[in-house]
Amino acid sequence: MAAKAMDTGALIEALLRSQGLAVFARVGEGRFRAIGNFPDWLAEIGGAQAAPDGTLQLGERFPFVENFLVDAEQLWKAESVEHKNSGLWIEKGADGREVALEASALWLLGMPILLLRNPQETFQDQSRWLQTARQSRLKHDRLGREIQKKEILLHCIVHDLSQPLSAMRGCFSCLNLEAQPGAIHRLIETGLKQSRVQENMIREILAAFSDELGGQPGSPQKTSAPSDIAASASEVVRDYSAAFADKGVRIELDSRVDLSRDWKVAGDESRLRRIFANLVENSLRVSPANSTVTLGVSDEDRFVLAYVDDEGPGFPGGQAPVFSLFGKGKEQGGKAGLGLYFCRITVEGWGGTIGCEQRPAGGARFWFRIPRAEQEPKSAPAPVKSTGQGDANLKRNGLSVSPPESGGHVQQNEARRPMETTWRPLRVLLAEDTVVNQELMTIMLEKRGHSLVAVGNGREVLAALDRDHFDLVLMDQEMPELNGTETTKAIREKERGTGKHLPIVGVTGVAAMGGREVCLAAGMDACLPKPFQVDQLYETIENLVFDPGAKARATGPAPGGSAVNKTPLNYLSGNKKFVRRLVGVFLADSAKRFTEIQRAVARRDAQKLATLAHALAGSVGVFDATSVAETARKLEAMGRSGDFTGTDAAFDSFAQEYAKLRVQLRGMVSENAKSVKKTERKKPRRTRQKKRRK
Amino acid sequence: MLQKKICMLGATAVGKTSLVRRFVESIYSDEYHTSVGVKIDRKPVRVKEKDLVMVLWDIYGADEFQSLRMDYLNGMFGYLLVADGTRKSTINDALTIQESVAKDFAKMPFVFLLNKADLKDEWEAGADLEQNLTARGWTVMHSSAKTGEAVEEAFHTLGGKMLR
Repeated sequence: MAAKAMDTGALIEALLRSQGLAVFARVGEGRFRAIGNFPDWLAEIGGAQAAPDGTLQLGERFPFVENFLVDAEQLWKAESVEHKNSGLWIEKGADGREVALEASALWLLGMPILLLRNPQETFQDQSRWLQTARQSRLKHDRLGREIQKKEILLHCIVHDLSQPLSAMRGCFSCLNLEAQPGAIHRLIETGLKQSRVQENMIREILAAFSDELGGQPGSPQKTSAPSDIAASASEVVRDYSAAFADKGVRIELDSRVDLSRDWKVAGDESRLRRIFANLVENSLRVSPANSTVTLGVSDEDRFVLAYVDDEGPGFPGGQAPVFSLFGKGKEQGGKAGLGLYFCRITVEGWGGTIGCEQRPAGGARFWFRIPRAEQEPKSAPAPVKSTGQGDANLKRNGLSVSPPESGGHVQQNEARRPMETTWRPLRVLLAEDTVVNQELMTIMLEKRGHSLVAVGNGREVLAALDRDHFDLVLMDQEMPELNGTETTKAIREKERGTGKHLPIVGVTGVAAMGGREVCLAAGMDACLPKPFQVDQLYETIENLVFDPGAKARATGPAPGGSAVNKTPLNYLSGNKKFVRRLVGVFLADSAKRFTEIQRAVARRDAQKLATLAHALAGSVGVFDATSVAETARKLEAMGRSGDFTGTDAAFDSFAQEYAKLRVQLRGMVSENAKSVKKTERKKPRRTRQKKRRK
Repeated sequence: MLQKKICMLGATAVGKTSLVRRFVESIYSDEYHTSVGVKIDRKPVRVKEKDLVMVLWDIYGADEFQSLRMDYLNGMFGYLLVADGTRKSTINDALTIQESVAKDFAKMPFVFLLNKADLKDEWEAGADLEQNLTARGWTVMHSSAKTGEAVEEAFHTLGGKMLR
């Protein structure tokens, strides 16, 4: 038995050695006696000197162990059967090599035991994967920041390229309003054509960048798996709670948000969090101590609305921040508004909208609205040719003759009824309160072979639909009495249970500011941003009624000739009679509106001013008269905000621009008229000459 | 000689190890080596006319892979709270760490280092944050382990606070 016991001792000794374990028994406060021989690694890191009585002061030898002994002593005192690990610490070997060590305390056979071991392989494995994981995360974060910078840079470049091009196109279009001699007319047409070529080039560059960046700004972006926006909000609350607490401000998730619900949206998690983070940081800057910043999300049909509410000063004097580059201005600190700008381009890229408003209870609300992930159409109708991603960008950046904010691509709801397969003339009902736009639309649709009935508001739409049959409704969004949204909802309500579905196309000047979503949410089938190109109009309405391939199968092209890439006025410019008719209608109608605007300004009638200025801005779009449109929109904004500061000066600017336009248009009409008269005088002469020859 | 334990705290990759190496060995490497476990170094210094050995505990940065063990902080006399000025998230992490530490070690002296001052063009840390922290009585310094900017100063400032 004794021999056997000796063998066991040797075996245990060998076992401890093979495991690289140094075993110590505690003999007093901080003093230990070694059991068995020291493993090799201990010698490598300089060994441990024993006192004359053979005991070792391990705490003095290893400061890390000294710290660990505080907890170890508690365990030994309790004579606990559990054990305690110190975690890794690193000592330097003689050759500078890092030697990882770990201590364990345990109560064994009635003795307090301390084990030291060298888990070198585990340490090396752990080091390797942590190095890889952390490096990857750093790269990912860096890439995210780089992408953000590139997106902003790309927007700046596009903006800089777009502005002069937009001006050039405007100038050419205005020149074209005048009856020009043939050679000059051709030069202007060449100028317009070249500007379109340049538009296409920019579009191609954007498309290339889009591939690089994984989704170009301002266009529907490729997203990774749908993300839970409520979870993102919740994580941002958690991430920022310390920063907020530091300033004495609370940050919380709105208690009404049910995190167990499905809040998946068409945006990737990383950007969602960056958007929330930007908005939250913005709020923190202005929040007083002891106030609360609340993040939340709420349901909005096909969209989710996310918001960040603060209890700060709000927007004194109505000075809401601009979600544009350098929108904060130079006088403020921070990063010149890059954060908010990034938010805007990202949200718009997802097909959403962003904004801010004064809260009725005080403070500000920053919000953004993005589509739900599951709402993306699975079998949407063929997209309209000229309204791809590039178009959306070009328009948003001012490349069209429209105000920059008008841009948006035609977006369609899923088709809801079987499509016809053969092209035929359509009977269209137009709801539009601006006479000149009614006239323009009539001319364009008639040129295409369609017929049109125009009415001025939503009530008249409903009445017309009761009386008559139409293939489609073109619905202006802003109309008196009953607007486009209300009218559409009324139509859809009537259709309920009947199996009928009348195609409705919304026409809005604020497509990029949420107008498109409003149209679709109301039940419209597509949305056409103002101003649109003629082919957009034709394709939007025809694609809704016919199978997109139907035209190709028809016996020939629809009447009216090619309208590719033409603004309505360009399209009609060859036809002096049409232009004269249009200008005549505008001059008469706008004169009335001008007087009414003047009266609304004098009476400080905010609502009327907003409505009238909006209508006038919409009608001058036909003539590419951007200056008049811009000044009218300023008045419209003043009317909407009810803030009349500077209104008189704004009205004067508007009046000047409007007067200039009238002079131009009158000149054009008279030139046109002379030209027509000359033509008419010449015709009989030629006829007489022919007769004489006979 | 008087020995004082100092902990280096902060998120991963903010430069804690580099700061220690710059302070103790006067060397710097651009290569990133993540820390696993705790490394302990010593540096004798003279602060306020007293000789002192700083026992520097370079503790790995806490993240989703490794969490900070508060028992490592036992026996410390002060800490350097480090954030990377180029990564705003590390500033939030630093604030969170400070909040947790203050629960167990109230009134423990510390210095907040916004590190990587050599990359100030890329900093995400705003002046308003710094003003706010300074107003709360924090000592905030801009350091760079790469150039050595404010490294000695930061340790000496902390040493001075510990001997107060």
